[in-house]
Amino acid sequence: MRRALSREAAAFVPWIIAGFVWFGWIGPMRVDQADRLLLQSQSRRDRLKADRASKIAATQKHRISTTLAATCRASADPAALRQRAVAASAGLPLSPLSLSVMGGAGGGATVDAEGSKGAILELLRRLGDPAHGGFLRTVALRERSGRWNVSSSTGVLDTVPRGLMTTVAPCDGGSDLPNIEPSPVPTPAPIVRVMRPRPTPTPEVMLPAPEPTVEPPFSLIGFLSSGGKVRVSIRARDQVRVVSAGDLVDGWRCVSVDRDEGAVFTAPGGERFVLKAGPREH
Amino acid sequence: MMSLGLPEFGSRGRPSTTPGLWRGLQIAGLLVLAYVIVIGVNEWMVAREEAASLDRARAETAQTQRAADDERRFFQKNPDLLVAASSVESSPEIVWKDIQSLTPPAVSIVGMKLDYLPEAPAKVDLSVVAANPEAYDRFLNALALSSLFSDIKPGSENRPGSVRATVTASHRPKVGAK
Repeated sequence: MRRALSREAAAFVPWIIAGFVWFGWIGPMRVDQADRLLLQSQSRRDRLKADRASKIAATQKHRISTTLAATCRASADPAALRQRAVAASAGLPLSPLSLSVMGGAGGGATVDAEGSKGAILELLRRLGDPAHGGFLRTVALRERSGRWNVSSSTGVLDTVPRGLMTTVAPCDGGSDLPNIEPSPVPTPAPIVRVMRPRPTPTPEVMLPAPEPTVEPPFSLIGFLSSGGKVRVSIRARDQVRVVSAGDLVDGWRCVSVDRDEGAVFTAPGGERFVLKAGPREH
Repeated sequence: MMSLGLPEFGSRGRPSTTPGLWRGLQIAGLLVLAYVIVIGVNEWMVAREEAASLDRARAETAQTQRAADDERRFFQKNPDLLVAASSVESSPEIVWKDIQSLTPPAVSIVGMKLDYLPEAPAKVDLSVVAANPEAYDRFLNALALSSLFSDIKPGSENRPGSVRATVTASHRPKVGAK
């Protein structure tokens, strides 16, 4: 009897073990497999989403590095912003032209002008030229009886984050004001007062040979003050530059800048010149 | 033979005819067990590989997603870069030329407003004067068919006679346009 029972048990044992293996191991493993398929599907969707986001970011980086390849870092200083906007309008027949600037982060200028269509488009081109560190935020153009007026707000690229583009140099090698091309319209000559040391009266016999007079290769546009610091704006070789004490312009060193006393420059030969606003005086 | 309902203690009983059956059942059970074990091991190995592969894929996805998030945050912190890029791609001169290329002779653009936004193409608001409604319709058709503008939304318009209307659209600069 026991022998028969053991024989039957021995016949059933593999089946029982197989049942345990099937339902205790393979079954749960197959349930996990179904869960894993869901996870894989989710993972594929996430991957697609991440790839799409990555592609968008790469496209934006490419856009920026392509369109702003020629950009330069400009100063967000209100005085520099004003100078840049004024320089952008140089030589263009625009009347009236009104301008307001706001410095600091997110700063820029608001320019309202009226003129011919060509002049207005040229003004906008200059204001939005990244090669001068500027860009346009909004532009509103309107035609009124053949004349066009524009209202535009601009921004300034004063910082370009690392990693996006190669090193971005300051505009115009330090002076961030645009280099305005020679304009067909003659610009009024700036009021420049050049003061030279007066010759001391000496007996005629002792009069030394006259020294060659050296004219400075730049002219005064105006004085700018910002943050308690006074700087002078000059036009040198059709470029508008903002200079502070200690700066070098074509070999001429700016010694001091004062609204009342004028901007004092020393020539390479040591001559001293004072640029003052007002009628030209020798 | 009559047994009278009494047990046959003296007899040996019927000889067993099933040892072969039990043995066969046992052998079949062993075969099934072996099969189940093979299947189980195979599935376990596949599952392990799949789990590892899934972990790898999730790690890669997480890395890509992290990089994309970093890029997105970078552009969120520097929206002026995108605005500047948009203002170069869709400069007033370019947009004006593109509009003029679509404008029929009897239609003139008397006003244009451009908004450069960080995460969208330049938004263009046009003030249009057309000599007649048909000319304005032709202009709108040309605008809608053009690949240079999208999201065209005609605004208010005054008819009859000459039409004064406003249209809003998004400028889509040509690839490589500067």
